[in-house]
Amino acid sequence: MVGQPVRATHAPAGSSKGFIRSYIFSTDHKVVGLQYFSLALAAVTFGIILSLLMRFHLVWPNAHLPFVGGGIMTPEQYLALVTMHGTIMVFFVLSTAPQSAFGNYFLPIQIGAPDMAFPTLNMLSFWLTLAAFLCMIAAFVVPGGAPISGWTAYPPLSGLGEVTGPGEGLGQTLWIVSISIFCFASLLGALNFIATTIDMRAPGMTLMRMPLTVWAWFVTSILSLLAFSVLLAGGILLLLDRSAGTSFFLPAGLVVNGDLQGHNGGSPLLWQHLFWFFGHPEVYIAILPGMGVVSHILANFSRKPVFGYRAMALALCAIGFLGFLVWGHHMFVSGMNPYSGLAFSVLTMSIGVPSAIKTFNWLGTLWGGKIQFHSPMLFAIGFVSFFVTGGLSGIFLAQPAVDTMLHATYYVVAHFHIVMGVAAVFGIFAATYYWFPKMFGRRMDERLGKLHFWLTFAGVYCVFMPMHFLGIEGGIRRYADSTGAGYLAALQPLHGFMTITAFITAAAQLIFFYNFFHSLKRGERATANPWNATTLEWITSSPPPPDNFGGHFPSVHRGPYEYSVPGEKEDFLPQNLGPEGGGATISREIPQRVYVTGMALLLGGVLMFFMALVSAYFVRKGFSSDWQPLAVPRVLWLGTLILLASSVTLARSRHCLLARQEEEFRHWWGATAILGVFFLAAEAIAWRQLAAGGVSLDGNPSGSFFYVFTAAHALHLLGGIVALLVVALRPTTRLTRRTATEVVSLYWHCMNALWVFLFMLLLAGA
Amino acid sequence: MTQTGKSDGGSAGPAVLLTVLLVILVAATVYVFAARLYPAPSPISSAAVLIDRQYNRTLYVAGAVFVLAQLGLAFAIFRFRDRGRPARFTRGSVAAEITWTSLTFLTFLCLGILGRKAWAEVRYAPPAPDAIQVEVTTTQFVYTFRYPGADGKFGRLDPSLINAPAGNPLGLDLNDRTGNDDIVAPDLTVPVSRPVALLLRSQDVVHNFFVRELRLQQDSVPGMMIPVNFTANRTGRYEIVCTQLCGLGHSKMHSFLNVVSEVEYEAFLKKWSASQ
Repeated sequence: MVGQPVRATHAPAGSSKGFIRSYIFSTDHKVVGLQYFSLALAAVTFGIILSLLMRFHLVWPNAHLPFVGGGIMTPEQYLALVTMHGTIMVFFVLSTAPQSAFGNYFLPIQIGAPDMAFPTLNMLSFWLTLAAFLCMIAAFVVPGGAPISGWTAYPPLSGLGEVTGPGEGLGQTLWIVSISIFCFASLLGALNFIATTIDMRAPGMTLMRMPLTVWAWFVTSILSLLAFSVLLAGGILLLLDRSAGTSFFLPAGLVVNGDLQGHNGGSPLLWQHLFWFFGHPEVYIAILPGMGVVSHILANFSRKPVFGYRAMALALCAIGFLGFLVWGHHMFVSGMNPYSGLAFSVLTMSIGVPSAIKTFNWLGTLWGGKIQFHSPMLFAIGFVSFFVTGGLSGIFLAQPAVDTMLHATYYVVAHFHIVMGVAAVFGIFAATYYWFPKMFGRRMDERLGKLHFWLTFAGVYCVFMPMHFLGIEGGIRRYADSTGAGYLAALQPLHGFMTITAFITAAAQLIFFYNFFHSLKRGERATANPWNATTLEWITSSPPPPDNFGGHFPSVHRGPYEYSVPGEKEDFLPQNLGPEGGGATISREIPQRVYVTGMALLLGGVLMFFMALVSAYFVRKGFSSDWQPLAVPRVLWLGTLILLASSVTLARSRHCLLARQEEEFRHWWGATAILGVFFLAAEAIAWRQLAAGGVSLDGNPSGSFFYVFTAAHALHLLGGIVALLVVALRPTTRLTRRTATEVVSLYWHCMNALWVFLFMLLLAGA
Repeated sequence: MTQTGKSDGGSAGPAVLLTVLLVILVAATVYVFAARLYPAPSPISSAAVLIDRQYNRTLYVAGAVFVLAQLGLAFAIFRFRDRGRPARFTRGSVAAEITWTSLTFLTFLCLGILGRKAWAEVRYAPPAPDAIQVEVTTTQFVYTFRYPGADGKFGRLDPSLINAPAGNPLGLDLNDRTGNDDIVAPDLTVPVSRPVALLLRSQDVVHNFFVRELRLQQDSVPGMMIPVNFTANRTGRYEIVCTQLCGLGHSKMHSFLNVVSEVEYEAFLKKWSASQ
């Protein structure tokens, strides 16, 4: 029964539920995955066009372009392209395709689950991401155009509105709103991925039997959960600086264009810290899934187990963990304390260790193999080559001394494009060629795939290797033209070479698009397991049925990469192959504990969000001279007591439910919600008192933080009250009442504890 | 059910082509660096020489790893292409993992320790007592340099007095006596081989001060005063450019560092103090 595909017993999606529910507002993780994939495909097309316009302008700055309003591109139009190219590629391609698209499609199948833990939430994540994308694109067509502050949006440039430049008005606002929506969607997605991996694995699928792709998606999700919540907090503060007149990031005495701006004491570096605390893990969000896919594919086509599987899984975790400790290496020349620069440098160099482990183990996997050069394998090998090249140029930038010469030059652009952009894109291509037969039931054309690889591999090196040389000579990134400094003119021939090769490489992508869409309709039919692979996605039909396994859910009996095991007849042993063949069970229930896991993860994200705000509070308070203590209204003491009482009533209510005292349960449960409303009322009174006393949001930072903390907490508590009411009024189907009670209690108690912490913080600041 | 065979996956063609491409990549890269086709301009300070030394050390280490890893990859691809023989089964080797982990760790540790000096020299050392003080003010899209004048003290600045068209781009408070002899110039002129202590400040957004020949790059951040020191030991005219995205005129924002003899420096001071 080796590798025998499970036949689809269900009708294909679409026949019973209707088109809209099956393909548009579908909760099926496979459809959501394909939706994310389509979004990424649209976004990458857009992003490539933007980059070609930039490359064209750098070489022929006086040419008339059809896309540009006035004919000749202005510097602000160029900078808008820089900003939007970076933003679209980082968020809507590199964070979307490897993780949300392929992760969504294959994570549940590879662990033997019928779907994600929270399918509706999954659908919501996608639609929010799409909304964020449309919001981002809208920035192009509003008055003033798209923002010009780069994907890093450093204030004050991004914080003052139109006065600092075109695009910094509505365009920049839309940018921040879009990114905030994206963050929120990614948080929901990440929570879903983690809960699914923790609680939905098939029997026998231990952590150390998970494919490395699952490990990569899992670690990436943890990074997303912790990083995006910090960016969300930063985005909200930046939005307040722009539209509500607060001064979180804007210092006093700013004079723009001769006009004195009415801000006080904020810290531009605070934004940089918040941004890069997100921004560096973001790099790993983009690249880790690619690492997983590459390990997976190298083993498959070398016909060997992944060399050092355990070390590979640990290295993924180590890279993820260290990724949170190195954000300062983006800020060596920012004015940050040089001692912290040294610490960040050492930590950054230490990431080289797990990265080297990965590279050595990839070589070890190839070594002694029986290498088959199918398109996915070629792209996986290309990934390794780019990862080596891009990783090594990072060692220069990780040292503050060397960075002072290379920072903000094209050297940096070359480095991150190779290691984060190109390597990740090669991971996406490898995944696409590898899983296309599974996703669409047809195979892509192998000859076109190889042609696409050769042109792209050679082309990309031709574009980005010379870029290093440009940087070493002092070519500055984000320059709309080369007339600013005298020495730049001598670097134009390099620019010319890069532009020509960039156009050729971009044209080579048309081969991919043709191959992709042509194969969708005309490709050779694929069997269930065309690559003779071992993991669970290959034991089901191509494409998989709606529940992934057609009612025959696998049990797992062995590790993920059992290739060429000595003494076996076949050179691959599927994971579900047990002592008595491929064992299967008929149904798989979603365990109730996923809801508790999901809530714990949500709280992790919420906590991270508040901790970002709290760290902003400490920085703002500690490094400014304008802080005036705020008298916290006394009514909040009463509010705190009410909130503590609500925790008691809630505990009582839960106790009654366990004792099956339905009536008492309802009473105490309702009392909790009412106490919650009372707390909000106390908070409203406190706001009125402060406002009457002249404490405004745009006044002293102590007041700004008071309003931000209390409002953010009040919103979360309001969510808790709604949840209490929903549990009380609406019986749920998938979720038992007992679990619902557990989940809501967990949230409520945590919100109350959070309040006590925030209240003490505010009192200490008084 | 097997669709993979020797026909499409195991032929020597892709293996040979990929090996050749990787070898070309390594050869071309090594050639460009060895022949110094695109060198950084020669350094004009001892700190810049230290940075170059650290850069070169890193280049040797990274270059060696680059050559070994890419050629290793090329070798593995060529040597272990599917030739009909079964793969050599192995799950890994703890000894190998420990070896390359500790080797990498030691290499990075050594590089990090060696690089500390170049960083410390630039950033930690306090300015020499006789250093020439110059305040650098950045604004969209202009550099303004201020010398304290004969009294060695900078006059008070008031943002509300800033009026560039009227000749007061910094907002100098004319009622403050210490400011009467301040010299304000659009270029940075310093005497050769004398320590210079710059104080970077910004009026509007984040800008940057970068001189290639000094290997010196530093953001200027509104609300902060950031000190940087250098000693230029070769006369000449060097370009100062802004490397921090600061708005639509970013690529035009630039100025000059004039490293001159003592005599010329005195003449410069005299000329500018007379004009103000």
